[in-house]
Amino acid sequence: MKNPTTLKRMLATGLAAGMLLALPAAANAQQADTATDDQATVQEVTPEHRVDFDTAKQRLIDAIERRLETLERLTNIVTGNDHITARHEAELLADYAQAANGLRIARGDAEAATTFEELRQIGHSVVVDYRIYLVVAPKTHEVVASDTVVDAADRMDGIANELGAAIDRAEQAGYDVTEARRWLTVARDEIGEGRRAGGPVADDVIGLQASDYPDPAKGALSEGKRRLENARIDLREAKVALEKSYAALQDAVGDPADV
Amino acid sequence: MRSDRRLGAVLVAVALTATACAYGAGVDDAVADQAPLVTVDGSTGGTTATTTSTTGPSDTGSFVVDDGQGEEDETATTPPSSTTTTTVDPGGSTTTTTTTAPAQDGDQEATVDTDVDLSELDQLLTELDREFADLDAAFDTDEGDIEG
Repeated sequence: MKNPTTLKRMLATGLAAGMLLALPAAANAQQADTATDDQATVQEVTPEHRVDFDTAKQRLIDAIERRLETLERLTNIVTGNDHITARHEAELLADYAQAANGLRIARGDAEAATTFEELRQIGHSVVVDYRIYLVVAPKTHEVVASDTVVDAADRMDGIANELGAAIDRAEQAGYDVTEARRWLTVARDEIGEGRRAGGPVADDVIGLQASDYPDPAKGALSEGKRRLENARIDLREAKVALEKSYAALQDAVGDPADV
Repeated sequence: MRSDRRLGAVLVAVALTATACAYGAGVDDAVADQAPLVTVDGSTGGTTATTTSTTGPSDTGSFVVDDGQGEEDETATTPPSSTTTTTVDPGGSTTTTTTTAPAQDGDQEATVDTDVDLSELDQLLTELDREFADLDAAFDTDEGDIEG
């Protein structure tokens, strides 16, 4: 029979282990309605899952580090992208800087933590106060994709203008350019559709913050992705139409070598 | 003496002929291969005379245009392969020359510049695909790296 002191020690150990295992689970429980958020496994409190305080602390610190690395990666994506507008880039970089500053403070707090409750609170904050993976990263990529769509549409417009001028020249020289002009009109329509579908997405999502998750962030990001996919299809069709217009022009003038 | 006069007349005639030949040969060596074809249109006194001269591709230099009016022959300079119309007023004091260069072989059908570089389209779509790959990946990520 164990004495009361032993029983107290066993009880204290069990409670500590329970708190540690509850650390991620607590963070997730507050966002239980978000299937993808905080998908940390809610572990059964079993002996094999019990970890000590130092291990829990290190895991939390590692999680913070990964978020900081993600912010750095996003920074590199944004600063290295040729399509994003200066305004969007500045706004995103400001978001990253603010998030990184908060996460570094959280990392310091985690390193200084002495209780499971502190770790739990820090872990919860790291998830819900920053939403690096569920808001910041997807909105970044939507902004970049949106600006890429607009830039691609602008450049396609330029090509369409050049093609239109070539068609005009051929027509003035007496060639039948009906087919070439028809495909050019299709191309211009598709370019316009693509721009209208994908262009506004950047401004629709760039202002989303961690506190907007799940609503309205989830809906806005899903809608943004859908519109961008449509824009991508439109621009693909525009490319095909431009190529067909050009081919029709070549056929009209009769000698592809001249073109 | 009589035969001497005849001989003299013959010599004068020969000399005049030689002079005339020399003049004709001196027009321009360049025209020898294809002398101007000179036609006279309405070249009667008191009216405007129009002479059309059609030259060959190698014709250069000066061409003597005789409109048959008896005044001093006119000289016109024509470019190769051109048609020159020289109009001389009845008095021969005013000459108007119009030169029209005919279309050369290369000019027979104007080349239409329809050159448009479409290679950028592939590049644009490639860049777009890359951004969308990153976008898809971003939607496949969650916050689930804090685990017990």
